[in-house]
Amino acid sequence: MTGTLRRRLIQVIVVGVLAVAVAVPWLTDPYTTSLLARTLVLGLVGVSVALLTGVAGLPTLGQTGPYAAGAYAGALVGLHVSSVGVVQVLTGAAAGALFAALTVPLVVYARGVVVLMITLAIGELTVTAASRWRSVTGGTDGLAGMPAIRPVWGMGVLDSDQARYLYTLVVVSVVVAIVLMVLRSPAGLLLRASRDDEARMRASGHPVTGYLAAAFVAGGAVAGVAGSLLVTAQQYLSPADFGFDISALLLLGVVIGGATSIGGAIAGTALVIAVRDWVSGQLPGHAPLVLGGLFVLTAYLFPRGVAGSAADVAALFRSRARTRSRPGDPGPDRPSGSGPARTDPARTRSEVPG
Amino acid sequence: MSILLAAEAVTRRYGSLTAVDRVTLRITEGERHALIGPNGAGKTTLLDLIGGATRADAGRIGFAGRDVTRLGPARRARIGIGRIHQRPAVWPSLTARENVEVAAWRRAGGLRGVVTPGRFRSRLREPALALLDRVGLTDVATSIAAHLSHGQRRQLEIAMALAGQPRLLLLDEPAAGLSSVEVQRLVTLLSELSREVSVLLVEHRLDLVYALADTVTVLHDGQHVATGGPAEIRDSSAVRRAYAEAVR
Repeated sequence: MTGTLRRRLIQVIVVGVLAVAVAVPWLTDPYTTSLLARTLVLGLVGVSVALLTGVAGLPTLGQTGPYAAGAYAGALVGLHVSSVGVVQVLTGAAAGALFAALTVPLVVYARGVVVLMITLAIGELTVTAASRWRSVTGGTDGLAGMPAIRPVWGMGVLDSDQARYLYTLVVVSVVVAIVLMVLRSPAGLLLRASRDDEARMRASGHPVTGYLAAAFVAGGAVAGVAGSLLVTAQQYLSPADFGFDISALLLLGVVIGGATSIGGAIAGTALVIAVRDWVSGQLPGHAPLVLGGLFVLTAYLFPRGVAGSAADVAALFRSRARTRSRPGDPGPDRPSGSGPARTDPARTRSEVPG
Repeated sequence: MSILLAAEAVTRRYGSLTAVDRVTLRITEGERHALIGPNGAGKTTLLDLIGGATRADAGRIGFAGRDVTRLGPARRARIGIGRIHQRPAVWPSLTARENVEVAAWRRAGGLRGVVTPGRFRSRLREPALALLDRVGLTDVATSIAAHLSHGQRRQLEIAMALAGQPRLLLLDEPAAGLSSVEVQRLVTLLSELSREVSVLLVEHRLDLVYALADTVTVLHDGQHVATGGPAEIRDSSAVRRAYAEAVR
């Protein structure tokens, strides 16, 4: 498959998925639509988890922290300042980024499992703070009664599940597009290089810690936007929305989807949420068992996640096609030594998350 | 010739083991200096200390008239210390050309690459391709580095180190795992390097050392044994003793 054909195929898939997503409110009942809006919100948090875990190499269980900060900030602005959606989204992004900027010194010098533990602690402390700080967060009773938003000044109020879903879809699409643009820019190149070999980056004069800190704050901003969208989609907030189970589901979804792929992260998160919310309806009380089975299966069948394994399979097909067209070519299994390059034209561009 | 690098009585300990024990090493501008010694002599640790990957427990390291003892590896790279690792260190998910571009990034302006990415990268592209041509990797410029052979990765890392325009190049066993053709290419490349670049070479192949080095320093058990010209070192009884002890 040539590069152009592959790009076309991806474009067709993206347009098809977007078309189905736009048509959802007319195809399903309001309850399912509102459930899908919340799935989109969690998908966006999954994007921030993938950005940190897969692209920057900082595995995280703490994105519920900036997610909660964005949600409470958006809710408080909605209750006391403005019902304009853009204002709430920008407030959520700023709150998420600020939260990440305050916690980044704890995270950015650690690596691997230690990052997981530190971010887990940050997430848990955030939930505890949200439960105790009653005057601001409403404690375990949560915040309710947020007025319906209008997307921008002059537009009508979003007073139905369908309208709120479409608004959520638009904001999530815009944020995901921005994330993809950044990852395809030199900033993405530097992050992937930092993940690949940090020592080599430092030996080339790169301030790796600064890059990772910037990625962490950007991830916080994305999670903060998702938090403000949760307020819009759900119109109610409580600390239970940011518990450890959400952190674990997000990481599980990103690992299943493929941590280096933003599309895979959204799809994986959606799959996990679907299993939790829908399949558990068919098998009451067995959702954790189904999720566990799903994870074990994925770990065995798709060790690099569904998106990563799909890319591997596509590369294998391209490699075989090339070998068939050039019978003299020793193929991909030739031991790599000092001879000519094992060049695979199918993989001649770097892996860009998408 | 003025002194470019001056490592004075540098020491590094790992628990009860002293990997580098009060070693003093001076390299002048443009010099090709080789560091030899049996396995475990402390050669790579000394390179780590000079490159900043490891901090010295005692002693002082000066570079271009500046005390760099407390500087990290990124700051040392930015002032002109380039490094080639024992195992080729490249960024596997990037193409060969991208590897060289990212390695040249800081020298070419750093933050400008993020602010005006298109113009910045097009400015990096030609020099990167020229460097890949110099190390014989033109054909694989757009290949993912993970798909390159060991020898090609080694050549790529050399191109990456040169892209940072170092004043001192630290080479840790650059010929390890290379075919004879690739070794010959490496020798040619290093011989043709401008004398604006000084070289500190760690290498087990003594034929390469004697062919390339102006000065040779011998380490044994973390201690300095001798420093001199290649002929002097070849005939030194102290050096023979050090190697004989290591074999025993």
